[in-house]
Amino acid sequence: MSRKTTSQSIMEKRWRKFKTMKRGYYSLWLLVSLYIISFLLPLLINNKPLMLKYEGELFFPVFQYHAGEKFGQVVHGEARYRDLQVTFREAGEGNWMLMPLYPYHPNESLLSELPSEPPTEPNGTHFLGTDNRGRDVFARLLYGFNITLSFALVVALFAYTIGISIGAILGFFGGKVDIIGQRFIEIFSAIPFLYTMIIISSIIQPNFFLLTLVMTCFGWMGMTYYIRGEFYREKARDYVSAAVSMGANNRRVMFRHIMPNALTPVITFMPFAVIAYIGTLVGLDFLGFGLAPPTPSWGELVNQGVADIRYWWLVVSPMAASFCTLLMITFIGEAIREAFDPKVYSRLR
Amino acid sequence: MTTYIIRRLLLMIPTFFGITILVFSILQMVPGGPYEQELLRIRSQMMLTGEGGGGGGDMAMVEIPEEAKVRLKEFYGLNYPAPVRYLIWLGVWPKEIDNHEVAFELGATESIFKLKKTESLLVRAEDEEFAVYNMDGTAADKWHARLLSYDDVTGAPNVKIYKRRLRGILLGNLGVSYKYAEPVWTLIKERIHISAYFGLISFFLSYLVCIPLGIAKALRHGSKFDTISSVIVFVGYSTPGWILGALLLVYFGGGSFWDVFPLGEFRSEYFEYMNFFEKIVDQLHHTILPVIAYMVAAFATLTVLMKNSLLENLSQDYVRTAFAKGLSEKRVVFFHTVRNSLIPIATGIGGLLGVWLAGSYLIEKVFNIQGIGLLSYMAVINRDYPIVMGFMVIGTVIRLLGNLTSDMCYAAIDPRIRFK
Amino acid sequence: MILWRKVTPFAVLALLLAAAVTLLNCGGGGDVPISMRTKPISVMIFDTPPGADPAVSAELGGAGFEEIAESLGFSTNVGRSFGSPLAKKGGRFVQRFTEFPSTLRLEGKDSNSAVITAIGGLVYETLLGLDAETLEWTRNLASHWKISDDKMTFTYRISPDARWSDGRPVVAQDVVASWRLRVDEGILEPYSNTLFGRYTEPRVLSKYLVEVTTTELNWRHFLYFSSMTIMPAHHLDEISGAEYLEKYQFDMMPGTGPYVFVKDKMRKGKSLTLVRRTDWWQSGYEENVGNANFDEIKYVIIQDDRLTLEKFKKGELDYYIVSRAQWWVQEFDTADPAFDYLHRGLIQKRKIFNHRVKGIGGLAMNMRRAPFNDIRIRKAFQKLWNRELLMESLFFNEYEAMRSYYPGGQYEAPDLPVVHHDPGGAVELLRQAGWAERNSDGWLVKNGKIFELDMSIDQTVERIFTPFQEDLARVGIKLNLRYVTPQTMFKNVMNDRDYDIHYQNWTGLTFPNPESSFASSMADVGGTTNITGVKNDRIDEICAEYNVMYKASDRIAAIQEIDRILLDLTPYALGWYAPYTLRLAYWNKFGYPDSYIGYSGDWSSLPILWWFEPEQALRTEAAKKDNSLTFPHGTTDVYFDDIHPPRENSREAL
Repeated sequence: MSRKTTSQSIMEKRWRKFKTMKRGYYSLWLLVSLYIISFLLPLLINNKPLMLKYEGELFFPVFQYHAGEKFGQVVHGEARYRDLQVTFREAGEGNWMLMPLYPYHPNESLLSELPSEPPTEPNGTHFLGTDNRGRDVFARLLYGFNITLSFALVVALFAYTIGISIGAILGFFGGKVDIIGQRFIEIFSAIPFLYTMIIISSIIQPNFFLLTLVMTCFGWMGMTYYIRGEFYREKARDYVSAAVSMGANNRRVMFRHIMPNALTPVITFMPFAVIAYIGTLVGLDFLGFGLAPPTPSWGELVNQGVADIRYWWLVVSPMAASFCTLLMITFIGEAIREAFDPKVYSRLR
Repeated sequence: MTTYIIRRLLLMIPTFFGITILVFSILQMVPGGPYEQELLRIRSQMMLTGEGGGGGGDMAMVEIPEEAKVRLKEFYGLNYPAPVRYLIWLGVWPKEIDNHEVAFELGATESIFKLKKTESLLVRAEDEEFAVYNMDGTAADKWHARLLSYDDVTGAPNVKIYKRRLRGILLGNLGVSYKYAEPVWTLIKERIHISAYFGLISFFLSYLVCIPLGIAKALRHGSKFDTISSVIVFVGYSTPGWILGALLLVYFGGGSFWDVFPLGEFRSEYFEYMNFFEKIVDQLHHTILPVIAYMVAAFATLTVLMKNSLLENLSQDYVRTAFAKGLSEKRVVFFHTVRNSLIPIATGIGGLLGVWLAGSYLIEKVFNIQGIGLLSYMAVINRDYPIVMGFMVIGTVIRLLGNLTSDMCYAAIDPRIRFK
Repeated sequence: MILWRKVTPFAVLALLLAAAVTLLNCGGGGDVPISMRTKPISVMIFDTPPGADPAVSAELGGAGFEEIAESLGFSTNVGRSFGSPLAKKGGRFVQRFTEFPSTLRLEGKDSNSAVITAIGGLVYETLLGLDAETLEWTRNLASHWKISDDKMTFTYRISPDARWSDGRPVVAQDVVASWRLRVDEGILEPYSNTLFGRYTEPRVLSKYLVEVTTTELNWRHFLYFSSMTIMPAHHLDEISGAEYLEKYQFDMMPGTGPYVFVKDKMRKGKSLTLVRRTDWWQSGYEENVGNANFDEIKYVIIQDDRLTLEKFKKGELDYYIVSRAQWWVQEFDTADPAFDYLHRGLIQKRKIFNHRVKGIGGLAMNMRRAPFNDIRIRKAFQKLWNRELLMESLFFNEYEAMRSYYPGGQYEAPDLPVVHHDPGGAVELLRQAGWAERNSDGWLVKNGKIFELDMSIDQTVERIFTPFQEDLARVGIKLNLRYVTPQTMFKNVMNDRDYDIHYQNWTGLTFPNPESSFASSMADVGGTTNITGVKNDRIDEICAEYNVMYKASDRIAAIQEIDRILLDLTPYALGWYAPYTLRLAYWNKFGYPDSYIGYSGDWSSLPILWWFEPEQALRTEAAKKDNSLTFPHGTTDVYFDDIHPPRENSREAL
């Protein structure tokens, strides 16, 4: 009982300390809110109106398919709402619609609307220009943010949990456990990634879940080396002996006492790992094992940009996006590290 | 310590076998292996080549003849079960090569086999066994013969003659590439110096830059310098090396903009005509852009790791003690803390070395450098398994030794760590 | 101490960098001489006097055979040269390839690379040549030939002047040895084994006469044997097929062609060089006027497309084939001063139209199963594919909508209509086929199932098909795109026929093969080009006759009829094609014939027909540094028919 209250107060203390690191704190808020907003993108960036009133009746096309004929539009299939909006406005018969803030869908080729051949440069209508078949880059970038970040975060979470646990066990127990465990990791890390992908993709079509699973399986090994090293070092310190002599069991020593001190490399690498996983998704796209087209992804944009670097906006947008993500995660990581640091002053004098 | 090293070295043996068996098995499972690819290639050649060469019209061309398939299977060793293939690859089981079928007339005790226009062999039936002789009657000791089957109709024996070849990894032979028909070792040797050159230069340069930079950032933690340098290294980290390489080539390669650097390649075309001095200049001239592309990503991780690690150490008690003793800042930082902060960096050395020696397919492609990365990537794509396995072996050895080195580095830097 | 240790490497590094930077400026001095120093060579080691061996009688092909050839039933024909009499010898021509060949062998395992095809044609020769325009046979290594009355036996008379590059004469035995290599199982090339296994072993009639008999009546069998490259028996007879695989992996036997492969100049993985022979036996022949002019032809390997373009712009490559419409229109814009060398005429651009057969491309629809077993659905898909929009906004109107299954050459049926984008018509056709209702998500439904298709693509064409995906979604068809490896795609489409719709391009053939692509006997076996599963009685009838049509004009009429049937049958939703052969940019330092690449040539004709103009090269080199110098832009569009108006000529017997 008493143990619980202490740990809570430690967490509170850390949280309070975390809040004092301004840039880390704000980065966290920004990133979390952006990520949450990204789930609501279909309401913000879309080519279908949120609400539409036609001849006295209300429709919600963003949630439901409506044929164009229903609104008196001569098209095949679904209404072309941007055109319809113009028609409504010109006719002035009391029909109206409420379009999302940015009225373009990420998978919509605007070939017949664009003034010139795609890719077109950024302008007032298309904030980041269009890609090589006239799709809006801004829309694709933001939709891609959700997919890409989800992938990276999920993989990072699982890979780190596995990697840290195993590394901790190896480093803490040492001896035979370490030697045998390390051999297994060495064997496991020799599995050729590309061939495994080929084998898997010949059996099933890669989807989001599968890709995260595979990346987790291949991603946890690197962290074990660092954690194992840290544990080796920390184990020799006095406080560990003290904890042991006070009768703390192994799990408690490992995770309560050593772990907080061994997290430096983890926190340092976390932002890089997240970006590296984003990079892996780019790489998988490049090799043709990525998500099925036309899923919006940053990797696909980078690939297009590299195919012809004169279209700078295709390269710069995803790279700037991943840079900002990296910066935010790094600031968060730094703040966490300092929050976890039990010393009052962590700087020289 | 010595016993520890010896034990670690001995432990590498089972690990090595574990890894090779695992990878070998995975390769057998990959759909579209070398044999299937070869069949597809032959088929597509039948279908797609047009003029003169054919065009593949009639039924006879649609299916590849069975005998041809058997020959191809023999070439890829698929006439043996997978475990035996692994033993052949190891070099403990002989492979039968130069297989030929010799038909006997019914009741005949010998048969002549025409090897080529100028050379023939004599196959004799001796009791139930068969033996191979040269035409002058001397024994052809390289050749062996074995009864294959009896003819369905006549009952005459069909004999297989073949040579035995023992060649494998344990005999120091990485095998011969399927595609290039050259020893894997030769192929690697032709390219290793190129990848190693760029890899080692990038490796040392990034350590030389990142460690001091990390130290400087830690000492000025939170300052303007820290923030700005962070932004710069992060921009670098967010830029894939090959994309940066492609951009640099376009802007500084002289094709479209400024003509400052050569357009890729490892050396100039006329390198061998240059004198020693010119050669050095030429080599450096060709080195700069690829090295930037190689290093751009590694910069950020190393710098930040060094910085955080040092920060961690600066907050330790012993630092306060050292200051309390009245030691100068320089001495405290460089003599005590830096040494301790290098531990996590040392961990990475083994792995990083391997990565850089392996080269990078994309950077090599962008700069048109014929390095290891390009070779191994193409081998994966072409299912050139001897090359794939060869790289796997070399990579494994480097990684195993690298891990050992990291552990040694730990112990060397931190006297408290003892491996037993 | 520690500080010092830290500082040393920095000091060394700084010094090295400083040295490098200072040296860079003097290092860049133009070493033009080495790159321009070229000379032809002779590698002759045997000296054989010119002309025929006097020991061979005229009847057996020796001296005097020419006079009696006709009476013995032999034919001959002199080819037409598209080279220019103004051509000069000398200089170097640099060509780019994407991959270093895995072998330099012309035969055997893995020998079918683009580089080998290019080199093989310059180092070796075939028994007979082919007149590009009339498709008639012309003399080459064989000066005369004879087809027996039953069309099963072919006799060739080797030209007594023909010499290997080592100086030995070419003899009938060389033909036998070349054939024997191809049927040797040791070369691990079942394709050649089968193809040449259809002949009985060639018989040497004399030093110059050789005869071969085929086992099947088919006009192609004369074609295959006559276009077999001949290699020297005095090397081939020494080795077995398996030894050939090893020994000639990166080496070449002497050839009879105008160039030799020089092993010393090979840089593995990087470049290959061919050097012109001073003693090519055919050099004085009229059909070779203005051919084979460069002293050196160098093949460099560059994988990356962008790097290739940059190297061309810098002058390290001599020409560049602009494969992307967007680059041709936007990047290679002569009016744009940003591309200075092109703007000032140091680099020239040409779009060359000639009579090369074009390939077809489009969406192959699997007629073996639903939904594409219904011709209405196939026709609907052709109408749904908005080719006009793609050609306009993605391809800058550089291409034309395809209308024929045999476009571009003699075989195209005249006056075929183009099917235009017509979603209204497509919806009507779908309705007739029973797809009229839509569910609440807007997909077409029939019997409770939605209209859903899978399409495997690779990334290079992805951008063409997401707009198509949207177009189909508009009429209620759900198209799922997925990436697969080329191997899987090939296996699904070519072997297992397990697909719905597939994007396929085929190269055009000088001698089309309708049987393999469209005969019903090929529809349900794996590995044939009849991927869509066409089964049509009339096409089968024509194919049966086609194999024994020895007259080119008959074959053309037959193919044109097939073309019309196919257009109605719609096995493919046809795509677009380039009406020209080459979009070419090149450095202004070459001379070339008026036709640039001849009647039906392509890029591979450039090293044969073009030549190096040293004075212009120096002027261009000077203009690189002097911005005031400009050269005129030639006419961009070049039409073969404007230069050589069509000749009156019958396309008679082959």
